Amino acid sequence: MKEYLPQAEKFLGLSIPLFPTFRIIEKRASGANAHVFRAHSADNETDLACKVIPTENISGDNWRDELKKPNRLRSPGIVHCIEAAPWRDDSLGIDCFLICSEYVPGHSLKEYLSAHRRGLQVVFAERFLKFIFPILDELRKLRYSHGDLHTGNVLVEDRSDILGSDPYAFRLTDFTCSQLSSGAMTKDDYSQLALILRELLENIDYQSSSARDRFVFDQLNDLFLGRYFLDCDRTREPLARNAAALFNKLLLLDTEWTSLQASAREQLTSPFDYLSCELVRTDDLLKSLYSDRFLGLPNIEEKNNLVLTGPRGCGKSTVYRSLSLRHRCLTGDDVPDAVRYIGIYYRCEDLYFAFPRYCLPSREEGLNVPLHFLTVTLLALLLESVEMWGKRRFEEEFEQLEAHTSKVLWAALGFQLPQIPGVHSFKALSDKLRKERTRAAEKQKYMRTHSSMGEYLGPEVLVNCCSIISSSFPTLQARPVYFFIDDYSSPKVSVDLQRNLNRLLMQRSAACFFKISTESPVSFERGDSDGKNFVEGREYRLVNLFSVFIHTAIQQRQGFIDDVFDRRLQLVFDYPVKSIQSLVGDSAASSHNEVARGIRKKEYPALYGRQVLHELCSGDLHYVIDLVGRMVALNGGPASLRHESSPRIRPSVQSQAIREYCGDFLRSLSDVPNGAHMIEIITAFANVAHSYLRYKNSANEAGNPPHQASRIEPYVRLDLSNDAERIYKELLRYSVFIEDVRGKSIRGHVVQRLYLRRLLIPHFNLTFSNRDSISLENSEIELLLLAPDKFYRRMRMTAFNGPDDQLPLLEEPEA
Amino acid sequence: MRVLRVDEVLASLDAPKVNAIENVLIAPHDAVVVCAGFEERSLGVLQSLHSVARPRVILVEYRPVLLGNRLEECLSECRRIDVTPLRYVYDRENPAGAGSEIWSLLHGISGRVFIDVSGMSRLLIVQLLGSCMSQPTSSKVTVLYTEPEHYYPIQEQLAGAQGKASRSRVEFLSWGVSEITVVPELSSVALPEQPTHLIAFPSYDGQQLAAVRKDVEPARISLIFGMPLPEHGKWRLEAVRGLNYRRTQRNVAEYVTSTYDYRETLHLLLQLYSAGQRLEKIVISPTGSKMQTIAVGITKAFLRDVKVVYPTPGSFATEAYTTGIRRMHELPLDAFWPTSCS
Repeated sequence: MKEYLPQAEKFLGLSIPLFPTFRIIEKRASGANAHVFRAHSADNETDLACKVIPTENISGDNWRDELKKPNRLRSPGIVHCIEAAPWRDDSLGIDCFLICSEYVPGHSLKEYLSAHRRGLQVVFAERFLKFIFPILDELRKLRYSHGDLHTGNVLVEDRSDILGSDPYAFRLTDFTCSQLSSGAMTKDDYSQLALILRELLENIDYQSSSARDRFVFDQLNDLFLGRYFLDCDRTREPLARNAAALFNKLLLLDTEWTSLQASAREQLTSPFDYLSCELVRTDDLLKSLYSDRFLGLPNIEEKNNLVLTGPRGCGKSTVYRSLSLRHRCLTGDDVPDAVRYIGIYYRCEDLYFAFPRYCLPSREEGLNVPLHFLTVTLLALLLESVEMWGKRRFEEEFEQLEAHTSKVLWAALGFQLPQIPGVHSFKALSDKLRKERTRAAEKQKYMRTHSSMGEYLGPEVLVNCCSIISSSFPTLQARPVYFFIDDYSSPKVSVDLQRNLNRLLMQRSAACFFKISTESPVSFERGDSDGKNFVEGREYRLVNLFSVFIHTAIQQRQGFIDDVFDRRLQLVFDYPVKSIQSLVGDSAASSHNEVARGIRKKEYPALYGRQVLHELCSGDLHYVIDLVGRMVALNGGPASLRHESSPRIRPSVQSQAIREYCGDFLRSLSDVPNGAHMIEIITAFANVAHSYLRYKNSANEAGNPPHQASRIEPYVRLDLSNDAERIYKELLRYSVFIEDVRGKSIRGHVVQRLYLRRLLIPHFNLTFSNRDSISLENSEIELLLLAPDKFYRRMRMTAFNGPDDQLPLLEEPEA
Repeated sequence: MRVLRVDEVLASLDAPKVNAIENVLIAPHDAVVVCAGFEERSLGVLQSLHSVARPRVILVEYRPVLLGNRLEECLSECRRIDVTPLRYVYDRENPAGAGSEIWSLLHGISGRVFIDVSGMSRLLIVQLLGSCMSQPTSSKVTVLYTEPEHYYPIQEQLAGAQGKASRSRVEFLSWGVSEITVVPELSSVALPEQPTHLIAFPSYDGQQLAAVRKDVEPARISLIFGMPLPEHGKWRLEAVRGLNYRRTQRNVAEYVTSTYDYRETLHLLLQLYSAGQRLEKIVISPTGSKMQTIAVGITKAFLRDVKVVYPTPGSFATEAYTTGIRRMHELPLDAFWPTSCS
């Protein structure tokens, strides 16, 4: 009872009766029934914890037996009692009972929680439970209970001064003191544990937690707190108050989380589902859809920094995700012999939401904020992947070296060590790194108004940390880290943000390589905020998947496209067709020249068969898949494919679907800002190209075949006004035109050729031939971009082989 | 015994309902935030004030200025009640930070803060309510809403446009998307590795939804259609549905909530959040009715891990958006604050 508690101050400075060399020097805590002091012995240079309980607060005679109980426990973290005795001094008015125990430097959990309000990580609660369950299990075996479990009796010991040990650890003290000190009924350990867990969970910021931590939080909240701790009936709930089973359950949470992610039921109900990688949630499905015949894969896997570009829907994200170590672990494709690098997948949508419309700051000390954000994010992903793989494939090595590696990483990062047990672990590091993400994003929001900036990591830190990780684990030493940075494209990742982050992403090192994917060559900024310009071939290698696609041997290209289709067709249970060849058949071989001559006579080719699909593809395979889906629907759905004739989809239906699809693509373009203007540009160019086909013959070709162009070739390197360049970039961004930088103009200049997206070719009655170009001066390209109608009037061929200002404006294609 | 998450606490609250009112009772120590929009109803609240009230008035003016913005009429109403308003310029092309900047103009208000959303941009509604939590006056906030006499488009307009809807764009209240706006205060860096769940409110301009879809690239979509009050025509629901129809809609779920009773939207948003919060990040595009947008604002105020993106319209039909002033409504938000939980 509090009323019997003497004033704590009167104990300060007193020698204690049992150990007279020890003098009480500090009050550590006071409860309802007792005070706790620290006593120090100058002679022995050591401390003792002294609990002083007024005699009135003691009930029963068996106190010494009770004190022996904790001393019989062998679980780690028990604070053992050293000695106990009455303390009576009439002159000082002391009539108490004294219990001396080992002194534990640090804080009680109660103090810790008040210092970390709402700032706890889920791992703290997990570690606490991992600490307490073995003790509860041992107590059960000895038929004991703690009797007074609360946050005041749990200590967070500070051992940061001890070399080689975990710097913080949980300790449990004050066993059975409730019986000893209050005479009240012993408190039920599990009910008390529920109260502690509840307090821990209340101090966790759920909304800042990772997906995995949210899962664990919910499990602890709904099951441990809501059921296991409170239910007493083991016949109803086998885990109720069963510390050993609860301990196992706790250890399995990570496995459950992994299976939960993998088990999300996701399967193709049609071969034309899941056209974009972003739609695919589960790794198993992604694996099923991924073709390792992906064109450009060898370039991606080279040990170089890479800028990868290609039209939307060409599979950049799919291949990047598929090459990540996390994905490989989740799909069982992580046998060490097959893993040549540690792939980390990161999608820049995250940067878009953290730094919308980013501009370089006027305050230099704010420059590293985005860099800090990206560094901690990538490093957290790396640690999580390495931990996942380590625990699966080199567990012993990982467990031996994790603590040491973590310690070196903490030092390299320069972060203040959080006072949590198990701080020298990848999990604790990654939790801290995720907190740092939030800190950086919040700082960015208020940069204009905040006076102090704080410390942020510079561009050298990530590379350094990769080196530390690689060199610490023998298994990782020969495996560099590949950071697959997906969708690093302006305007979403602004030019200024790219200039800032390029200080990191364009670094060259043997420990890690950055593989940036970007929508188009113009959506990547080739310089950094320090004024350095990056040179292709030196800082990075540029791979344009469109160029790879059109320059790859036809058989290889067809092999890849057929493989993607066949995988999808075979994935759907009971789908009537299992190969693309059966579905669309093969078309009769007509040369492009024959087709062009037919178009001149207004005899339009039937568009069907695999060969046409191959020709339609600019690498944007997902559109071609969608197109075949449209063919099936027009043909009457899957049921209409259950016949034996070949092809299963009628050629006329294929042809109709292709022409409609091109029209729909153009209509969907009108949804985007400036879409209507882009459509005018395409129409103007394509109609001019069509007029060339009709009225002009190809030069230097035997047989005078019709001129067949679907690309623009500038005479000299492009030099556009700002307005025209903005539109030009938009055309590339939406892959309306696709740039191929391997071109050489007829004047011998190295120029970028602009290919019309091949899906659009049938809509404008052109052929798939790549032989001819429409060569344009800069001024003509400028005209096309800014005034497409004027371009059309000026450039269109007529029967008289000259422009005709009286022609109707941007006429519709004839078919 | 278990700890309630914020979404669970919000869902368990008895959310206040919107009440129709004759007059707004405003005292001198109160404040009113009004927007000089182009709709007639922007003036509704100011016109109802008496000169004895003399509250602090924050008058929001839009940039770029649209033909039809009622700034002069708002100023004239302020003069009538003998109040010099504090003017705040809301730049629709650069709106970041507007919520907290307006709240800073309300510093020192000891009474109630009335936010008139009648002429307010949807993005600004979410910005204001989303930053409400950190304000000292947050426990005394009332939303005011003036219902117009007529909503556009009218049914004949729509019927006339239906023929060409399949081939070209139909332009009603607003059209075109100048950009997809993300402001830092309504953003979040939570759950970076998880797929995106887009919650969108289809409007008469199908381009808005299409542009957001293209930008956000969601793994799944929840479309919340608005069911208008019967007097404004139920046909509107089907009209909006038709204008936003896409031939291939995979991973899309559709819901309908009242355009007036924001509680339906709030509960739906909380349900969607609760169902997917571990495995997906939620992005909301608030292009629904004003009251549906209020539900988004309240949601964002408490659920910091939700992101808001907004397809800023390119043009407005300022002459044919809404006309007239019908009834005023109030919604005191006191019951929501403070809500504390994990």
